Amino acid sequence: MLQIRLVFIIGALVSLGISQGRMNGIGVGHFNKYQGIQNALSGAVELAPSFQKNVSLTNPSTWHNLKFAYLSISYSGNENVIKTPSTVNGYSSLSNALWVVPIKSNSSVGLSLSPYSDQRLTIVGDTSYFQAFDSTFGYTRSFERSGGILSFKISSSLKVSDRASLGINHSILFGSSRQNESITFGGSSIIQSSRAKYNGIVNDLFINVLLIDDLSSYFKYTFSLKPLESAIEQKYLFDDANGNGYHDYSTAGFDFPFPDSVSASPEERVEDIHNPNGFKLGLNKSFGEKIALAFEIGALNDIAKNQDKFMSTLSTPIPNWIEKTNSLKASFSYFPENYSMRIFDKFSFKSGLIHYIHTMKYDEMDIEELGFSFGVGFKFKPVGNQINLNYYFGNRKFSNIAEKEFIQQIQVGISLADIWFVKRRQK
Amino acid sequence: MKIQTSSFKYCVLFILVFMTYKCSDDTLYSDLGHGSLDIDTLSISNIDILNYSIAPNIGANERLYLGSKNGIEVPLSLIQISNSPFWNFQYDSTKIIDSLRFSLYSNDSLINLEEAPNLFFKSDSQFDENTSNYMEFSEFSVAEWFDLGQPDLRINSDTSNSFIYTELVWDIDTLLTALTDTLDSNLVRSFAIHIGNSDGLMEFYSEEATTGDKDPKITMFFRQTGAIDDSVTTDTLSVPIYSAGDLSILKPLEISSDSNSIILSNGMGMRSFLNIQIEDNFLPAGSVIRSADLILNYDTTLTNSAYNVIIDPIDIDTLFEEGTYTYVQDPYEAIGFPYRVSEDAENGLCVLSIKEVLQNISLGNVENLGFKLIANEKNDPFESIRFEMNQDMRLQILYVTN
Repeated sequence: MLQIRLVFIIGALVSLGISQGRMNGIGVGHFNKYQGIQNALSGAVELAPSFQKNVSLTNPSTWHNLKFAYLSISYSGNENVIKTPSTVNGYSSLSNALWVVPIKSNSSVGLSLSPYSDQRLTIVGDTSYFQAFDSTFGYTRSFERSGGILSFKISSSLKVSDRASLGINHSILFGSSRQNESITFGGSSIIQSSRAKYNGIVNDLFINVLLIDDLSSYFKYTFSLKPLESAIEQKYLFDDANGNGYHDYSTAGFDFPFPDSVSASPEERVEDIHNPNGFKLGLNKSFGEKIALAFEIGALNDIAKNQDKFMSTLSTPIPNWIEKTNSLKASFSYFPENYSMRIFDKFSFKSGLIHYIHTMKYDEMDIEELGFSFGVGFKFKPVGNQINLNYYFGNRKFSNIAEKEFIQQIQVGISLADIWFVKRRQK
Repeated sequence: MKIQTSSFKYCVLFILVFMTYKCSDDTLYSDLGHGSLDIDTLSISNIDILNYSIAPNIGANERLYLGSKNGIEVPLSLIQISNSPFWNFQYDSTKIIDSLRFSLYSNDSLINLEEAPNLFFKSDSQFDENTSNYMEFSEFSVAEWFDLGQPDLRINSDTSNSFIYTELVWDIDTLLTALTDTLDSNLVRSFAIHIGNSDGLMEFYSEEATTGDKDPKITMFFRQTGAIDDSVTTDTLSVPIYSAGDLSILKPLEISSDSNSIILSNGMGMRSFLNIQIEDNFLPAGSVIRSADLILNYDTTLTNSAYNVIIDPIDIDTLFEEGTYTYVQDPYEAIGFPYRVSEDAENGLCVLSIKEVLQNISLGNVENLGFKLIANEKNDPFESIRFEMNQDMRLQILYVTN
């Protein structure tokens, strides 16, 4: 009973979800890969093994080392806190769903679904004033944006030799967002509604090389086969007389002009708005069967050419774009004992350090994030099912804003193993 | 195994709490000066006017008039009694019509018998409440009508002896046969009130003023016989037969031809055509109008009470005949709902909001063919309003563009 209460108390103490922060307003939103950890079962690092010895669920080049097929689901909740003015935002959502099937310890295939970017944001500007016909009006601008981009990955690995293996991610990006840009004065808002649909393909190539005993190196190269494109439809401006945010006939007060007297602008397509290109390099040192240390560095550039055109077509809440991201990650992993019957040996521990520096495209602004994660996992059943709980916290510093953003993420993940595609003799 | 099962149960429970916990969504604050929406203004003072007049018709007015005032003569008012089924009582063997009384009501307590109007009847005199005007009655002569003489005057007061209304009642028993003549296919039951001396102005309630109690009407008094068990009963009853339409015929004695101001008057039939000179793309594409006010100033010494003004965009392109300023019917056909706007002119200022039609002009849904300004029929028809043609006459547009 005490444990049940504890679960509820922990649940109530955290505000959950992919939360809105300033980064949600930049470009096509806040990329999921820069929000805490991506998968509770993997921990802070992406390339180095952290799920099991020699296996990382976020690095396909290690998947053929799995003994069973795995279905892994992570659900996370994030909270972004700004002290002045006091702002707390939190949502929860699925952060990763992954299905991996190893094939004869030589190769593997996997499918996964995860958020790619989050555009949820409500942002309001200061009150400004203007003179019109002997009267002074105060007005405020605001943006309300929802939606984002999802990534459906088809992944595979191939064992080249005992010391080297390859992996590939083929990520199909899709999704849409809706945005209301408003200017409020004289008792109601005039709103520009727009909808943007996105599609694109991003690829990752992975190489995994065992350098010497217990020391492995990992390499990831990211590029885009089809840079992200957007189809933008802008509705006609309307005076939201009834204040519900939609252009409709609902009382009290009809929106102006009448919805049937106007039509949306033709859909405009903007290609090449997000084109990630970069690398990540990792080293992993094992200390026996149960302990490993890992380091990763990475640099990712957005070499898309039409970000200007995108932002002139669809006004974004923050008129900027992440042009380059440098990352540094370190982790310590303690793996569970494979065959022990002791309770303590069924637990795994992970902790990690994450450091990002995002360089923006349009001004001197940098965004720097430093975070720390700690996770615990429990292995059950002989096949190696795991349940993991991970907590991440960090500070995000904007070079042009004095106030820092405090980030918390709590993530729970479960992976269930089984032997799939086994021919069974009929009785 | 027991431990594993219970752990799994707690994890499921934790996820459940996770998913159902209330999310928070606070607004962020930032400088949004880069936004694509801008507020702007446009002022247009290039407005042409053209005064014109029509033969006045005040069929929707709440009063019937007789006499003259402010250069307008009202020689007669017409009342048409409805084709009620009560008229068939004449042919019902169980009913006997005893008498008929024609009633008019006034809020004037000082009416005396000498200045009271005469009532006239003609069974086949036609008029249309909404279109008839003095030009149709230029040949009017009471000699062709049946004179029913002057009324009895009944002053009605409340229990504290305060005046409520004056009732003018005519005995029209002599018209019983004419009013119930089913053989007359052209029976319209038209009455007229007329006074020989047109000095001063008399006012009566028209059918638009009340919901029946003070409408012009005929009261039919009758006896109804019936049988209950073996005995015969007789009841004395009355029924009202209301007016189906009424109209005062107004004849302006002199029409102003001032071209330096906009003059509106129901009694004179004065109206004005406005041409607001706006170009095709007077607003940037995609703009939405927050307000569009046509501002007109008037001299309060000529119009002292609130005066309701209507502006209505022209629907059909009308070729204005040069030099002709007086018409029987209004040559300009207006759109009406939803673009017709009425507003009270008060304290020297009349502000008419025409943003609905201007927005649709900017969208290309409506063509700018001009506007007509008219006085609301609810105004006193003997009052007029004169808007000055000066720099203060302007159209002010406040809009947002993207």
